[in-house]
Amino acid sequence: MRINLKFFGQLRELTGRSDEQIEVEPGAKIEELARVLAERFPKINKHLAVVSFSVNSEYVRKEKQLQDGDEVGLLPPISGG
Amino acid sequence: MVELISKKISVDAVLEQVADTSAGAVVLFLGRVRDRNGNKAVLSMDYEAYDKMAVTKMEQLEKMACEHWPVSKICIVHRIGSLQLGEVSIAIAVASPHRKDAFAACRFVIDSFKETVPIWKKEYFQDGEGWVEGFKPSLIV
Repeated sequence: MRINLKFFGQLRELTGRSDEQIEVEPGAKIEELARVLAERFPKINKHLAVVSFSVNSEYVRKEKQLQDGDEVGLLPPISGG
Repeated sequence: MVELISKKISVDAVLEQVADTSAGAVVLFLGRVRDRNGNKAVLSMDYEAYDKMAVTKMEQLEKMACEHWPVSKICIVHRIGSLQLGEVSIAIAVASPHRKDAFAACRFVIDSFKETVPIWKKEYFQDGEGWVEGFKPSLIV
């Protein structure tokens, strides 16, 4: 199934992109997606421990199961305000 | 009312958004670009947002504050893009019949904003640049 990724801040700079589509196994969870990302984007590997994930604009835990077409945000620690 | 904008924040426009004759108190919070981070002089700042999600989170904060305190109106505006020293990055106005609730609700909104709204800032120094180390977002909101 296809997942739409969104990169921000330092992760956007390290990967050189804001958006990316990626294929994962049907029923994959965020934690599996994180493993795929670590292989595909080695530069962000060391940052993944502090990255939060969102699915369709809501924060989720690593156990969250993904659906085809989900928009997943890779969110470094936030610093707005 | 919540908004992400790329132009200068008008404090007058923010206050107009919370105009209400039943509100005897209005608390206004402004966050501005500071000229230092620790012992490093900051020259300017870039703000980046996950626009869609940031607006969703700001609307959730507005709703929570209105449910928890007798607030008549709230306006939350955050600016994105490049900002110079002293410029306003965030404005929060809370109108309530009484000051105690207006202060408490405003405090809740800015504190929760910093823990939940997906916005990032990058500082520019004389000798380089760097993303500001922030909060790992709270899952509660």
